[in-house]
Amino acid sequence: MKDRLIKRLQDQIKAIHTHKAAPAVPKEYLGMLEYKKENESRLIRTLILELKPRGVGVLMIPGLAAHLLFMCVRHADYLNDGNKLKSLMNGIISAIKEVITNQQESFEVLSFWLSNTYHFLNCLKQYSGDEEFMKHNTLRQNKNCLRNFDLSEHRQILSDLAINIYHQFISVMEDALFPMIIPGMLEHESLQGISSMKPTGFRKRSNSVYEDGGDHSGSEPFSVTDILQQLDASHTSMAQHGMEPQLQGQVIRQLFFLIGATSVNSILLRKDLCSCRKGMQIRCNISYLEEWLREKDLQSSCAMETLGPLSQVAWLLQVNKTTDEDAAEIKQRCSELSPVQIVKILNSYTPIDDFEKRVTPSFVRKVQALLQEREGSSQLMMDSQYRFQVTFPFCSSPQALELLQVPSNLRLGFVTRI
Amino acid sequence: MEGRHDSSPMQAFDKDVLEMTCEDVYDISYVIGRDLLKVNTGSRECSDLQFKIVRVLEMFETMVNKYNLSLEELRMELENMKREMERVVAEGSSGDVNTTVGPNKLVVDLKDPNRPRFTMQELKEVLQERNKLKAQLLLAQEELQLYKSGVLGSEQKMVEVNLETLPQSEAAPSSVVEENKEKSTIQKLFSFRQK
Repeated sequence: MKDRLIKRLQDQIKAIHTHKAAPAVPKEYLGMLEYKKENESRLIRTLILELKPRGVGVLMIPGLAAHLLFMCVRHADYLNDGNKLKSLMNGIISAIKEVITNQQESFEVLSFWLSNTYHFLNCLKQYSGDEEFMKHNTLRQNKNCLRNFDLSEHRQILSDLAINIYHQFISVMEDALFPMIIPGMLEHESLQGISSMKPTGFRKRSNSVYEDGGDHSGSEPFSVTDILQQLDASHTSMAQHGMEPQLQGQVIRQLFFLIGATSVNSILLRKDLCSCRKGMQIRCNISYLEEWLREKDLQSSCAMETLGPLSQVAWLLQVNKTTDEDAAEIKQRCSELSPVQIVKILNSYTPIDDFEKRVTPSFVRKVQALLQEREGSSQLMMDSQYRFQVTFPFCSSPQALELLQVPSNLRLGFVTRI
Repeated sequence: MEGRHDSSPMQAFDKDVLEMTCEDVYDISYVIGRDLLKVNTGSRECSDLQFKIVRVLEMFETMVNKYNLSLEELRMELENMKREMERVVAEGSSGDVNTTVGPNKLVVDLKDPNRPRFTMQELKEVLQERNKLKAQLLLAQEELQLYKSGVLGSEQKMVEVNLETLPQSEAAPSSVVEENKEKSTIQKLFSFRQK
């Protein structure tokens, strides 16, 4: 008996020795972040209030902040802790509001949080368990969906918040862009030919957020190059914050609209801008803007369409305005201009030299007659304050939450990766 | 949005390392992140690599930051030192009235003919020699006096003689030679006096 016991034990020992050590299995993560309830305010402070829009981690991984926040949300849901979850969601929303209120002039901060709020919203949809948002999910992503709680109400609040941020963001960009539009698009003469009029642009940029960068010493008037540089800077910032391209397109479209409407309104009010040469200059500038859109792959943004009226005004300034055929062509081509606007331009048209004649009143009457059927508003000016309605269509993210690590410079050591 | 965004983020790659700022590191991070996303297969290996790169760039950010801070500190200190030195030099070259002299110091005009020139030691040596010579002189004078009054020398009288006339002697014939000798000695003495 003893011998058999001894033998059996010996066999077991042998078995243990010869048994190959199991290969080290890399730890499988669940894609969540655990934090203690009492650390909630610290979490929110670190990841929202004090988070710098420019940092290694947030620039390398688009929407990182949003994804990390969502991983915290997932864990609270996983614990089935309704209070923790509610507190967190409310905390996140308040904090984002606070940041954009405190830094409402900061282009960087607004751009960053517009992008991340949109990403966060997308996460909430993608992992909500709603089938319509799960179409592009991987199997693993489906497994990561929220289990216990429905956050659609919070999604609505976040959506409204995102719209707010968007409008604030647009306002800041418009403030910077506006002083450049009239000098840059209309007054600056870059084409050959002696300018008959000294360019009188704004001398300074009005927005205090922007430093005097580039070539401007503050004493030279703006040119179309400055406008393009400004658009460049806006675009780069949005791209670096990982803003969804479609949202970037909406922003650019709104800015182009401002350029177009402001320009048209100026031309309608100033006789000195109603000349053939001005028409050429404007056409040229519009083509630069179009080229810029192509360069940035933003053709799908429909930004060019917003320059339609300006483009037609430029054409109108250049074209012959004498014969009946001319009148007919005007009616056909200037589809986006109202009769009031067309007549105003024809009447304001100023010949450059003695060879050119003013537009005859009879011609104007002819055009007016042709345009009688057209229903245009009696208002002369375009509404340059008009804002296109912004939308936040669902965008699925390919990011695998379980692979997401927390960069150490974010100082989130008190949070545990699960 | 700062004006610096006018330049392409790619320019950060060409910069001299020692002239880099944190903003350049951020531009680099963005470009690398974007390129990584293009090749990302979604695999764990890709993700691990991505986060290793994040870590390295964070280390780079910290170093660049520290380097620039140290550089700034050193520059400021150099500025302070320079200013301090300039201040001291300016004080040194200002007028005598304003010059402050330390305790136990003497200011000497180098052009003054009556300026002190010799050390105490030199003075001591000169005085000692003078005293010695003075003593010798007194002795010599005493000796002379004794010769004159006839105390010293031979029994023959010592006669005061004129420089012009030869000494007349009433000396005994036996001491003629000595007298002659003495004459010559006297002569010598007087020739001395003559001088």
